[in-house]
Amino acid sequence: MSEKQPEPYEAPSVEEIDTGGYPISTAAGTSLQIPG
Amino acid sequence: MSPRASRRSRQTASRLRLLPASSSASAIRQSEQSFTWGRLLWRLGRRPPRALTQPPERPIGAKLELTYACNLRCGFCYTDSPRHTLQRTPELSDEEWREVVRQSLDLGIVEAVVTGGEPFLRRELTLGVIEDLAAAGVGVTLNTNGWFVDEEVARRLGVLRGVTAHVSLDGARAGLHDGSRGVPGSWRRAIEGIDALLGAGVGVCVVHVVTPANASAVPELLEQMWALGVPWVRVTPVVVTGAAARGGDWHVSRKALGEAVDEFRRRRGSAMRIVLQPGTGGDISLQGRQAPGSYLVRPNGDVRPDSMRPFSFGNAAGDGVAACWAAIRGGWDDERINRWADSMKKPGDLAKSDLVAYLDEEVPVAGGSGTSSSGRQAKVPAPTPPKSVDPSEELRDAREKVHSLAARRRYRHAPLRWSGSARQRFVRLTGDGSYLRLNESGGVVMDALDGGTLADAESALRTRFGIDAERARQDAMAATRDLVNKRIVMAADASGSFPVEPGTTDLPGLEPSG
Repeated sequence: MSEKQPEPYEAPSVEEIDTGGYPISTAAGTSLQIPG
Repeated sequence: MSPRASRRSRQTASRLRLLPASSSASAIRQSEQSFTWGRLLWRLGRRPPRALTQPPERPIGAKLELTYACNLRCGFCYTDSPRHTLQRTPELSDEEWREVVRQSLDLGIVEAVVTGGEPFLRRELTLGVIEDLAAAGVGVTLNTNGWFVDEEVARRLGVLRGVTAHVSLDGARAGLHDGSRGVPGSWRRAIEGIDALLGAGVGVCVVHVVTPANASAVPELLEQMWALGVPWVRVTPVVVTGAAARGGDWHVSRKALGEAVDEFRRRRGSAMRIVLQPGTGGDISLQGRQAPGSYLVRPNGDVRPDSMRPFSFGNAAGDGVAACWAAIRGGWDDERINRWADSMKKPGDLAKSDLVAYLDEEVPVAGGSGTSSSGRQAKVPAPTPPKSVDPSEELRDAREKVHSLAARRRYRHAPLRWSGSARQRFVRLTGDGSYLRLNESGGVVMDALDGGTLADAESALRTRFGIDAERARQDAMAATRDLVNKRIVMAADASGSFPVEPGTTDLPGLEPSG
């Protein structure tokens, strides 16, 4: 049985999101609501 | 100001406005060294835009010096507390203080500074006063050396809203702090007190008084406070009043302090608020005729406008707080006070004056108890020197102590929901509806802090990503600070307190300047 490889690492980041008044799913790049 | 002087001022002001911006900036820089320049600029209108020109009908705040006594022996103590401790100077009783607080609330104050001496030498009074003020919605700043801050004190403060504890810490290792404070063991008690307060969710500001002895360790102290999770540090040179005015070399390079703060900000960003203060105590003399917005009650009940002006306006217990405030409103611009302020041309003049705040008897402008005494010839307790140890070994021990306290503090999530994937997590804070995005390792730390500790977060990062211990420690510390600052996690025992800005009631020379 092979040992599980560790995940590639990048330092923790916590970023505030300005949704610009749109739903978070739109600000996150999905299409729950079409801007405009 | 006479009409002629007023006309002259307007003419000079209009000339100043014609100067290039760099000349004005240079003049302002000069004002830090020369009170005369500062006073001129003040009178010409270069003052904070909302500075009071008359005391308001109702005072904004009160500074309450609950006791003269202190368990420490700082050579620079601005209230000269060690001398009073030795003299056992009489103070108001608990009942008299509670009445002063009741009257202060009736007058409508919105902020208070509770201080000493060391206020926790009157533990129940101090806690009771803070609880009464906080219950009434008053923002409270507590000044303490942290020695007597135990779990119970932290818990009682932690359930209140709007209380910030300002805890003195003067060195990045025990020898520096204990040498500065004159009592061995005081560094450990301060650090443990700060940790207890943070663990209970109390807003903490660490106040670092910088002297020639500890100035070179400022960068290390900032780093340790960052590691401990302290949200706010005030760095201030000595204000040369009280005990400091008896003598000694207190001068430190403000430029070097500024560079240390800038360097910290370059390394750690804005995760910890740092306020570098002038510390010359010159602000009040600079401003000269600044109208008070608040009052200060000394341990014997005598009332002054603030810490810097050693003039009394009655006694809060004997005359009532309202009468004292009325006396301040009527007499704050007294010629004796203006002559005293105008006699100071530069910061060094503060200590050379015939009338030094906290060292000399207060001058009664409108009464007072007459129980204050001059400390010019008084005996003061000798500081106990710290044990001689290897500084680098002691520094290593200090770092380990700070890390071990920080590592065992327990956290919990704020009210929130989250979704997304392992690689990208979206969090909604239900308190204010804001959204945050976390990467995978950020999510790992967040999960570990749901009832866990910084040590748990370090361990989770190592297990998941196979990184080395030092990297895990550094990243877990940074992420924990970030998660606390962004209100995703909080100390497990926190009940939702929030820090209070120090306002008009603190030492003018110790108010934030940037």
